Amino acid sequence: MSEQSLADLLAQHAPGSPAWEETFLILIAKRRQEQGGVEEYAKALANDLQNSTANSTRLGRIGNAIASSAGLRTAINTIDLCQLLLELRKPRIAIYDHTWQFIGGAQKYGATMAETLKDLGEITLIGNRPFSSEHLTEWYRLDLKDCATRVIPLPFFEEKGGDDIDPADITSRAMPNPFHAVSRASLDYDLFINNSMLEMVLPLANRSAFITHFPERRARSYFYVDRYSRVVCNSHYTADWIEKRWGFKPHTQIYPPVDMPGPRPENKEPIILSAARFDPGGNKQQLDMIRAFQTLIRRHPRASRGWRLILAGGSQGDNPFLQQVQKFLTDYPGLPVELRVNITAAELQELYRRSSLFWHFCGLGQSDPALVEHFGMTVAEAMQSGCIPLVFDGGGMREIVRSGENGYLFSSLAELVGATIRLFDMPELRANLAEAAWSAGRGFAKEIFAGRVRALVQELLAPAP
Amino acid sequence: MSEMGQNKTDIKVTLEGLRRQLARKAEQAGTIEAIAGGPVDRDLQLDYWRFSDTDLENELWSRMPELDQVIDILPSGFFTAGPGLSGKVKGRFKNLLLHLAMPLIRITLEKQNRLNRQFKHLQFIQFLIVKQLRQRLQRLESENRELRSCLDELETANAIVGEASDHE
Repeated sequence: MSEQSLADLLAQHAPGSPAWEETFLILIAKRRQEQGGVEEYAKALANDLQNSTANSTRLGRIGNAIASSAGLRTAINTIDLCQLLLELRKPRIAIYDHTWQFIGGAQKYGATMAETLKDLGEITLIGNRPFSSEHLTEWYRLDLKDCATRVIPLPFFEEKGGDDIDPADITSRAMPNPFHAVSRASLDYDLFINNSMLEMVLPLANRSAFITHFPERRARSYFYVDRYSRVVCNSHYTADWIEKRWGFKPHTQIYPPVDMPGPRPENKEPIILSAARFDPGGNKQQLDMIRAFQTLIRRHPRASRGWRLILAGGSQGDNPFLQQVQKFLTDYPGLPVELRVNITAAELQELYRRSSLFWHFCGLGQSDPALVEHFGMTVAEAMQSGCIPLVFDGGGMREIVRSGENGYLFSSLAELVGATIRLFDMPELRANLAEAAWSAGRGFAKEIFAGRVRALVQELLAPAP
Repeated sequence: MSEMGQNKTDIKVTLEGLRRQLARKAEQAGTIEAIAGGPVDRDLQLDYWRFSDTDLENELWSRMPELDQVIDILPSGFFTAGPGLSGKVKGRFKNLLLHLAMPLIRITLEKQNRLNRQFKHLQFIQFLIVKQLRQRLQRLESENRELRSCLDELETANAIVGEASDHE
């Protein structure tokens, strides 16, 4: 049944008349076997309400008829959409992330979405563990004071204890899905955005978006990503892996927001900077960087004179990898390498401004695609301050750096050393590449992200023509 | 308030009331399927040939508990009665047949259960062997990388020494 025919059939009767209601109820019942129909029902209902007086008994009969023929979800979605069509309230938008309490690139993506969308509707941030919008505001330098927060505890993980909510613990459909609690909550919103990469959350809101930072797990038990209205990914690299692992193409790609705009590159110092979390598993490979720098100094003592390597990054609790790095530096006390752990955003920005080069190894020697940088936010941050990126040739970094034009991509340490020495030796080349990097970095600005997110959400919230 | 404004307020209140009523029903619904109005899960076809080593390993680990769930093929419980009188009669008849045939089929099914368990053990052992071999390979690869790095440094040192002797 097309929208036209439903509207036409209803148009034969006066809005609010018993005949109109009877026809509508018959049409609802006929659609028993079909899912959806929210748009048609909501439009018909809104049209009727605009042209008649409100009658709670009649409305109740229609709502219950929809619920019994197509399910409670369809009935609630219909009422929600009807309210929006009649402009009775602002859209309710939820952004879910089970890791709001941690600092990270993916969380920054979601929080920036919240800031971007706050004038389009009422924003609620949903998590599973206690978190506060004040922390998010402070961590990511965003204005989230108007955003509400909601915590939905998941008993399965509460009983299990620990900080992690790991979906890999749900190994089969023989186990109940603990994330259904979040699915139920999604019904309270007009738009539900899942920023947590938890494919086990079934969206029940009228419109939904799934943000994929990387498809970490295969599509298996409780896989609902394809039930979302839009699947969004953060880079073309992620898009390729979505296709490989989940067998479909994402609808949209939106690069993460990068907001470290620095001045035009001037007065740069002989510093190679790395900005990456000191991952306890060593995935960001800072130790390999130190070794490479050591080799570089040994091989090219004259060219590398005066240069130093600064490793900036966050670390939480007892970090065995950071200890390993510290021990290495103690063993080689003369090595011009500095560690800057857990520095503030302002301090990092100052480092970006002063540093000439930026090294990023993440992905080098890795066989697991999840361990290759999916985008590389710090690379784009460094470029925004005119640091020349020398980064591993893989993952999302290929989308940020154009080798030889605004930085270098390397596949081996020999390539990295060669490119670095070339830059040490040629100040003019350094100046040109720094300018090009600064210019290219602006292509990942927060404003561009915000524009794309708003366009996506406006499209999602707009009723179908 | 104008008539139009009053009607808009009435519509708002009425819709909110209905929504609350439906939301209450959804809260009371026992399953997500009851809210969604139908089944939400399906069996997904996986293309194992495209899996990476890590994916395969994860897949195997996650399949193990599922295997445990279905390994015992002996019937558990009874047939439930269908709707109406004929459903009840059919249900009772099936249960009677099951009861009578049980001593005979139990012998065969228990044998099958033993075989299932043996196969699971065998599968598990094979998996552990592959895992140990992979770990060994990773260790060897890591040692190889370190050796290459040492060799690299030796070559550099050698070149420096060579350059120095050339100067002399």
